[in-house]
Amino acid sequence: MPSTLKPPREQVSRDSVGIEYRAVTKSYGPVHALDEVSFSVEPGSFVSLVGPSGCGKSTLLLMTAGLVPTTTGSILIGGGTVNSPQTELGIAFQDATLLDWRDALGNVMLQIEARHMDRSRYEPAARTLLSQVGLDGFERAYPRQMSGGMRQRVSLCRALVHDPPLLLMDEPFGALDYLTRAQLMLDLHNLWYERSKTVLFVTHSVEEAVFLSNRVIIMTPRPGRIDRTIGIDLPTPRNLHVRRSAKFSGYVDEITAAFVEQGVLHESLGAPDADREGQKVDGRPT
Amino acid sequence: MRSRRASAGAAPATPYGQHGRKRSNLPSAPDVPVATSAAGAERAAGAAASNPAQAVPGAGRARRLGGSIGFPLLSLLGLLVTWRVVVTVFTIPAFLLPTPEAVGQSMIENAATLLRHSRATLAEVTFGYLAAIAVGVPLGAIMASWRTVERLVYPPIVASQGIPKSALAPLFVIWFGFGIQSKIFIAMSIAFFPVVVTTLTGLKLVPGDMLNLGRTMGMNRLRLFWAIQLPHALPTMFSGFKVGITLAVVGAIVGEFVAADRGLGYLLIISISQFNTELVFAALVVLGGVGMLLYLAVMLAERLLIPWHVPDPESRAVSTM
Repeated sequence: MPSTLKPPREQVSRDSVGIEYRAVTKSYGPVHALDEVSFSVEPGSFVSLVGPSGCGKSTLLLMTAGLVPTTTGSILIGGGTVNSPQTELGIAFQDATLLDWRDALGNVMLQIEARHMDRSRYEPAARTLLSQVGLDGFERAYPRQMSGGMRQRVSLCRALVHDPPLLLMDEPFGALDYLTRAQLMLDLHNLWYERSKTVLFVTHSVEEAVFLSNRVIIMTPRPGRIDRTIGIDLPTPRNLHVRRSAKFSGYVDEITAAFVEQGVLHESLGAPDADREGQKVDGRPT
Repeated sequence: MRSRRASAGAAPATPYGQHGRKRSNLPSAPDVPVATSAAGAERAAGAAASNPAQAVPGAGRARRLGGSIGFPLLSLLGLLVTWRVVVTVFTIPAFLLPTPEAVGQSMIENAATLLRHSRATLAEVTFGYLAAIAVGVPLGAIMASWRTVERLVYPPIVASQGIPKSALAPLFVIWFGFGIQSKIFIAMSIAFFPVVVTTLTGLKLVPGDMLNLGRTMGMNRLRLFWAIQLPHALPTMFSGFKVGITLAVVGAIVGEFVAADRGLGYLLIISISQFNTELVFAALVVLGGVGMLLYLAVMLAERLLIPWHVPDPESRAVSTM
């Protein structure tokens, strides 16, 4: 991609941005979903939010995108307060949310067309992204012709094609099988390593969080608060081998221990089984 | 990415290539490093799935076409044979149930009359149906967009369905006269309900995250509606459109029963009063044909407007791989 990209309408910066959460709370009527959450995400870092279902991590992500209002407190992206839907970001959900009537390339290019950006300029970027995640030859395939993993890859490309400074991901690999999710985890890590974007990643897989992140934020059960933050000091770029290192399992143990302390995990302190964690599938918290 | 991986392999950290060789006993893609094997396997599966479909497209299409026309023809033939046998075996008098041949002969003799009346009915149904869509779709869209409007308007619409439209038909004739307008109005009022309900449902079925996605792309409400909600709702809407067209036919015929000087319903009433049972059946056959034709027209529109939805066996085979 040429370095002089200047989208006509959206001033999408290629530099990553930081996020700051200032005493953010969220209540749905009498239900307190989030309670005074304060932390910050450094520009270019990969931060994961882990926590039990219903702890408000998905809500926090939607509030970051300006799609759900905060009850009190404020969120700042790159110094600016979030109070309407944010457009200088890419977003991916647990469901691939592809449009059935557009093929893979068309779904990626929706991002460009919706923003009235130059099609001819970004189509090569879209094709490159698709081939980077192993979808070359599938540009013209429709969602119904693709597997769940392929659809999620398209969704990942769509979140990245306009080169946003910030990437928000809400359990994007939650509904995938083990092998596909391991592959996508690697793909995402490599894309992040190449492009140095700020990523906020919501997951309930401890192993996924440790593998991908600079920092893992552990949340408590509802009302969601920050239990603790764990810095992940593993070499980058990471590969599958890193998961067998003592340091890696140390982090996984530490996070699992936090859940045991919270009382959301019982009797399994001795065997923090990453695979079991990976297979755990539950509904997305509201 | 490939070059990225290659350079990562050269780094002191564990090389991908070496890692791949260790795991190269994966059956699907033995020579692909493990980092790309999942994608590779899927790619291979996709290619394998699309190949047999491409190999004999002509034969498959011919077989499907034969099936979609052949089986209905077969059941029609069975019906005619049963009809004929029943008339002979039970010696049913012609004024109660004429033979299929007699009905056929009546159709030929009265071809001009039948054509004239079916043209009138066809016009009533078509205009009534189009009016139902022209009113029902925007109303459904407005209700889907504004919750207050839905609460205000939807209950009376549902309640109004408690009154059979045939009971209101005489009133509509008083209001709109004996001409085509009253029939159009009756057809519209019946076909309207499934159209408005499925439009509302279809638009509300759009996943919230899909709209969230559009908002992060800077789409406003109007844009979200046209680019995401409406296309997403079309398959659901068309299920209502298909019910609607059959109901529009019912509406037009009911209107013609009440007061008319033309149309297949009018022809039915007249020929029953004359005990011309052959012509009654001839009119019924033509009416069935008109109804089927209209239904097929809606199906065709569905195929043209939402080609991504109409499931065909080949793509289903690929998606289940």
